[in-house]
Amino acid sequence: KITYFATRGRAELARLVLAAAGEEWVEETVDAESLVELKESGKLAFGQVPLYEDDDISLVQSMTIARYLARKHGLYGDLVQGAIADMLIDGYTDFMNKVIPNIYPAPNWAEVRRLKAEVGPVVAKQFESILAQNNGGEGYAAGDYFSFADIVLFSATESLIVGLGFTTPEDSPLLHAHYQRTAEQENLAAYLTSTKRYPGRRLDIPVE
Amino acid sequence: MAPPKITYFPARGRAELARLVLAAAGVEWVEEAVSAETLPALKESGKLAFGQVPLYEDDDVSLVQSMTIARYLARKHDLYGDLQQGAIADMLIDGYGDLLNKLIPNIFPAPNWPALRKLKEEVAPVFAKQFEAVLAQNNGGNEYAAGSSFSFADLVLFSITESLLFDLGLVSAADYPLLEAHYKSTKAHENLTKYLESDKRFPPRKLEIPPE
Repeated sequence: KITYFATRGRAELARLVLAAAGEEWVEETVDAESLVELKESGKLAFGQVPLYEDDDISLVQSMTIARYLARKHGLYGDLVQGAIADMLIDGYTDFMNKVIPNIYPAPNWAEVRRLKAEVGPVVAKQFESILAQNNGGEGYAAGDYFSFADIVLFSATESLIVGLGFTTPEDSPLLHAHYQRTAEQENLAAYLTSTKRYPGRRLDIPVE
Repeated sequence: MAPPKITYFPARGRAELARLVLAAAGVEWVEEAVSAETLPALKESGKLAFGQVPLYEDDDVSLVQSMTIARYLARKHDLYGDLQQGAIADMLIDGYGDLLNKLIPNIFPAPNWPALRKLKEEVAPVFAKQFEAVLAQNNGGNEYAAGSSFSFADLVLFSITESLLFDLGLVSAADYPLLEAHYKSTKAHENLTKYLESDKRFPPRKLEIPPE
């Protein structure tokens, strides 16, 4: 069971892992009111959602949950694939930690514009370089078979190109092609096209 | 086979967890120090995927991102433990990362003492209680951070306790007896003791918040 808001947000990577592994799961939705009660229940080790529960364990921290599920369902791959997945998560998290405080709770559009112009393209190039280091970027994010690293990169690219619009398919061709290939992974394709998946939020930066 | 190499400032900082993992695994490594002057050249070399140190290199892989390096080494040297131990280690790393992200912008490049006083009073104790609660959930917190064997989770918690309680002095050991006891027993772990007492280890940077 995943307990979170009714949105993709920080829970989405864990959901993508479950989906890729062909696993079913239950969603429990919280909102601002029910979150207060949940915090008081003591179930949230750091007072935050998402919360993940199965028969063996109860976990918080979105990236901990995603990693646990990847490991549990044999998706972490070998040592190098795992390291690339971790590196992508860390790099992406650093970047989102710059972006998110300028969108929530109230947008700072001037800063968002600056991030889009100056930082987004740098980060997109960094991810594309990492991808390019593996078989010229035309295969998997790491190694020679589908792994957690591909799911992480898919998620990052989807944000960068589709959600935030911080880069384009033209400027990041390798990322975009990888994104499209990964969307066709059998189990993922089913989830991505289902109504189970929450809609994505696009960032609409108002014109100056 | 060349020994693994860590490239970083001559300080504990963000490289220390990776060093603790190597030490606990009984693996020798080489340190390459960078400074503000040499860092630009390293960035231009293209070796730093996100333009930052630490950088870790061994015969198989070249990695950046301090926590990626620590996790890779824990996995490589069989310290991650079982699924649950690994999840606890990850959860502690993530929680600690959240706390550091609040702290570090108020220490570098220049300390913001009023913000630090506020963090010390209002935020650090909340985190410390949360970390102690995670520990307490495992056999009452009297032994390992997770499971029934020494693992990466113990190194992560050791690192957190050393920073929060001792180096940054953000909370006092007397208020967190379980954390302090865990810290002491982890310190006594054979391979760690050697490293912790050696002059290979960089000295801590203490945070002394001046009185108002």
